[in-house]
Amino acid sequence: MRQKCFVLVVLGLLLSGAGLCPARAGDSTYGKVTEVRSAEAVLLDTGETRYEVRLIGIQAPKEGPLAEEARKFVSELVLGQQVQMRFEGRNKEGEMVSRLLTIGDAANPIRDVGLEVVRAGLARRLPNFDYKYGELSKAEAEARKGRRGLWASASPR
Amino acid sequence: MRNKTLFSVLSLLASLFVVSAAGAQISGGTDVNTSKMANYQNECAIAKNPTNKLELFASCNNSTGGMFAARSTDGGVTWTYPDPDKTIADGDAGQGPLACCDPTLAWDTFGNLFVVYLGNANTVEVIRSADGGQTFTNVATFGPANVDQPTVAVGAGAIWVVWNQTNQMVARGAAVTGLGMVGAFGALQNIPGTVGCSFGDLAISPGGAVVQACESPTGGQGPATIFVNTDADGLGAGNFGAAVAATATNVGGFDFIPAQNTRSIDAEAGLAFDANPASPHFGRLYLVYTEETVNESNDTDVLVRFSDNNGANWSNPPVLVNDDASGRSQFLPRIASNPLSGNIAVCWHDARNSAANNTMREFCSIATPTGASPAFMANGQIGDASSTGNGSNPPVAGQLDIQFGDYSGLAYFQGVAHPIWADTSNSTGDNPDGTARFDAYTDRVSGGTAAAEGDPHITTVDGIHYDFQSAGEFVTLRDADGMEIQTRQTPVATTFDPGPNPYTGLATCVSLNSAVAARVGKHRVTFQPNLSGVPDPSGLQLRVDGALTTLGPNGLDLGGGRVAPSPGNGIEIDFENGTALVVTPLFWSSQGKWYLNVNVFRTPALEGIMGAIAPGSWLPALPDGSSLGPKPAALNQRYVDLNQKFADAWRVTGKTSLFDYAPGTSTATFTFPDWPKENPPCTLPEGKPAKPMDPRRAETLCREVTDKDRRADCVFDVTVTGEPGFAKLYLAGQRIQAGATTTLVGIDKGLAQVRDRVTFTAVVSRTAPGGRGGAPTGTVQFLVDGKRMGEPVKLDASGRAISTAPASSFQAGRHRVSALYKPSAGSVFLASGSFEVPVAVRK
Repeated sequence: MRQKCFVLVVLGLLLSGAGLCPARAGDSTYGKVTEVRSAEAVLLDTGETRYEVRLIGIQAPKEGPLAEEARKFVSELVLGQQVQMRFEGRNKEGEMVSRLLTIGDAANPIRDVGLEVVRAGLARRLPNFDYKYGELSKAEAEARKGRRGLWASASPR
Repeated sequence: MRNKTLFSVLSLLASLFVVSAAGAQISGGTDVNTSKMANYQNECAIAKNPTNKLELFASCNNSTGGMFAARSTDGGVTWTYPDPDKTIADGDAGQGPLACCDPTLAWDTFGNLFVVYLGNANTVEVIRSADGGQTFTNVATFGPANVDQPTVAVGAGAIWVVWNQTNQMVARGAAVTGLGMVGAFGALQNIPGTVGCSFGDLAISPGGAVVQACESPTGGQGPATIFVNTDADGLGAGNFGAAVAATATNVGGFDFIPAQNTRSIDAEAGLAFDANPASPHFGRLYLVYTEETVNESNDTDVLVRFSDNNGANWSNPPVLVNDDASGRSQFLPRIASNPLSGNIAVCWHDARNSAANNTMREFCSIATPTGASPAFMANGQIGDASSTGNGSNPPVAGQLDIQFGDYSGLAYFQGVAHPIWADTSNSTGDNPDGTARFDAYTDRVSGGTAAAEGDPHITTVDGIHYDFQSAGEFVTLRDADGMEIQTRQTPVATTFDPGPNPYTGLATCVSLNSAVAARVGKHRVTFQPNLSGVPDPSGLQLRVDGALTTLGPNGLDLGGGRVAPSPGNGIEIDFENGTALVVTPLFWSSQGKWYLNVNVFRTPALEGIMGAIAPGSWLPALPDGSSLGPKPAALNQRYVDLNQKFADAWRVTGKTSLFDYAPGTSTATFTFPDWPKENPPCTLPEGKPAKPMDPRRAETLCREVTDKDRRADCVFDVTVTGEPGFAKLYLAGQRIQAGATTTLVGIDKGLAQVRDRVTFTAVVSRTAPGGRGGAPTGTVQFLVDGKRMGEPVKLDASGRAISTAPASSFQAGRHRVSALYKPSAGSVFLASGSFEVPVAVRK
C-alpha cells in the first residue's frame, strides 16, 4: 500500500505538483492554546481536557533560528487564543494530530495555522500529504516562489 | 468508594430494559458496494424518496475531491452515479460548491432531495435536487465561519439545518411549499445552553416542532451529557428553548476504543419521531446513543430513550438495543423511524465477534411502537464480513487514519431499512483497493420469516414455534402501515392424541388453515374456498375487493402491492412494506376440505398471532401491546391464556374481517369459541373424524423435510389426520423456502427522449432471507406492455440481468416494463415476475 501511495504521489506531483494522500474530515472541539512548543506542537486546554496537539501534514525546523522564528509565528497566531481543533487522529505518542483554525467569520478570515506557517516558508509540507484540494502544496509553492524562510536561498535549509 | 462504584454499575446494568426477543429474525440481503472507488469513502448518509420506495440517494466523504454520490432506482440493489467520477461538489458545474465533507441528506414528500455538507471554505452548503440526485441547484451557503457537523431534516413544510458554529449549536430553517419551492432561510438562531456541544442530530415532529440533540463536552473520554433543545413552533416566532439534559453517557466526544483507536468515537446521539398517526405513540421522539457502562472499559452499548413531549422529559431506564454478552464494543449507532408504521430501526457497528474487539460488522434491529417501551427484535448481523477500522489511508508519515469516521447512515421507509457504512471487508469482491481501504457498503434490511403451517404450527416473526388450534378467523400479522393478514382456522375432528406441543405443553384438539385474507394497499384480497361451502376440489377462489379474479404471469398490480401466482397453485402477495406472503393450498379429499400453508417472508410487521413475543411473555403481544406474562405453571391456565384470552383478543370481528362471505354468513359462522377442546374426545357435531395414520408411516412420508421442527410438525399432522397430503405441503414449503425468488426491475430513465438509450436492470433474489448458496441463476425476459423485448438475458453472478435499448424503439408515450425470471434447469430456484414499472418516452 505504501508503494501504491508512493506511485500515486509521484504521479500526482508530476501532474499537478500536489500529493495524493489528502487530509480528511475532522471532528471539532475548541480550546485555548496555552503553550506553543514548536511550530508543529501546541498545548490546547478545552476546559475539561488538555491536549497535546500536533499540526497535521507539516514539518518545521527542529532547531536553529528558523525553528524559533516558526515557533514565534505560530505563537503570534494562536498563543492565548481560542481556536478550533479539527481532529484527524491520535498518534502513537498520544498527540492529537489536527488542523488548527483561528476563530473568524466573513469579516475576519479564518486562518489555518498549518497552512499559514507553510505559506510563510517556516515549515515544509510532509511528503505524501496534502489537504483535500492541494492547499498545502500551493502554500509551499507560494513560499518557494517568494523565497521565504526555508526557501530563502537557492539551497533550502 | 470501589464498592459504591460497583454498586452503581450493577444498578445501571439491572435497570436497563433488555427486551430483545429470542431468535434473530432481522435479516439483510447480500451486501452491496455502492462506491467501488479507489481510495476511501466513509461517513456516509442515505435517504429514501418518501414517494417512491425504489429510489435512494447516498453520499459519503471522499478521500479526494468532492463527495461520493450515488443513486438507486431499484431499492438499493444497483447504484448509478450523477457524474462519471462518482462525486459531486468537486468543482464541476451544477454539482454544488466545493466540498470538504460531512454529508447529511433529507428527502421531502414534495420530491426535494436536500444535500447539506461542509464546504471547503469553512461554510455549510445546502444544495437541492428535484430529479432524485441527478442534478443539483444551490440553495444556500452559511458562513464562512468555524463550522462542523451539519445535520438537515425536513418535515411539516420546512427544511431545518443545525450545525456547530464557533463552539455552539446554531440553526436556520426555511419553508418548503413544493418541488423546488424553498423559501428564504430565517435568521441564524443560537441554540441556548449549547456552548461546547456538538456531534448530534436533528428531527422535526409531525406537528412541526424542531428538536436538536448534541453532546457536551466535545472533548475527553467521558463522562458527558446529551442535551436536547426544542423549537416548539418551528418556523414561528419562537426560538429554541433551554437545553434539557436527556441522558448522561460515559462515551466522551473523543473516546478511544480498540476499533477506533486513532479516530475515537463520540456518543453519536440520534433522533427520530414516530410519524404514523395510527401509531399508539404518534409523536413519540426516540433518542439513540452510545453508553460505556463502566467508563473506559471499551464495552460500549447502544441505548434508546424516548420522550412523549418533544424532548422535555425522557424515559428512564433506557432500552438496551444490542443483545450480545460479549463485553465488546457497539458504536456509531443510527436511528430511523418508518413514517408509515412508527416502527424504528437502529443499526450500528458491532465488534461482538472480534476477539481483539477491533473489527466490526454492521448490525441492526427493529422495534414496534405498540408497547409502552419499544421492544427490539433480536439483533440481525447485516454486514457479510468483518471490516477493519483501518481503511481511511495508508499510515504514511504525518497521516492518521480517521477509520470509520464519525457516523454512518440509515434510511427506513416502507418496511425496508437501508444502512450504509464504511467497510474494508471486500466481501463483494469489487473494492478496487481490496481490503486496504473503505468502500461504502449498504444492504436492505427487513423483518422476519413467519409461518402458520399444517394444523396450525405457528412460527412467530421472532422465531418462536408454538401450536395454535383455536377455530375461527384471526389477525395473523399486521403492521401499523395498514398491511394485514388474516387466516381462518377450521376445526378437525380426530381420534388420535399425538401428545403435547413442546412449547405450550398442551395436547389439545386440532384445526387447519382453510382461508386467507389480506389488506394490500387500499385493496382487500381473499383466497378461500367456494363461498357456498360445497366442497370444490377445483381450486381456491381469489377475489380482489370481492370480485373473482384470475391472475396472469406478472400477477396483478394493486398500486401499493401485488398478487401473483406462486408454485403449487398458490398465490404470493407482495405488500408495499416489503412483506411477501406465500399461500400454498391442498385439497383433503376424504374430508372435503382445503388446507393451507401460510408463509411470510421479509416482514417488518410485528403484531398478531405470528407477531413478536411480548417482553416478559410466552406469547405474542395482545392488540393493545400488553403482555399475558410468563408461561403459567398450570396447564389449565396455559389453555385459558392461549385458547381463550389470546385467541379472543386476536379474533376478527364483523367490522374488521377482510374475508368474503356468502349471503347469510359472517365471521361468526366460522367461529368455534370452545375449540380446541382441552381434552379428547375431539368430536364435532358434523363430519366424521379423521382416521389417524401409523406414526412410522408418517415419518417415512415426512423424511425429506429437512428442518427438524417442520419434520416433527409434518409427522404430527400426517399422524393425527391420516392425510398424506400434509407431507406434500411441507415439501412444497421447503422448496419455496429454498428457492422462491423475487424479481425487481429498474430503469435508468423514467422519462426518456427518443435519442436516449434506456437501460433496464432486473435483479432476482431469494424471497426467503438466509438461503444457502449463491444468487439465482437462469434468464430474465424483459417485457414492455406485456410483450417480449428482445431475447432472454442471462443473469450474472449477482443475479442481475441488464438490457439496453434505444428509446426510439418504443412509441412516444407511456409504457410499462416488467421482467419474468426463468430459473436454470435443475436449480432450486423458482420462477417469478416483477412489478410493472412505468417509463415515458418523449419525442
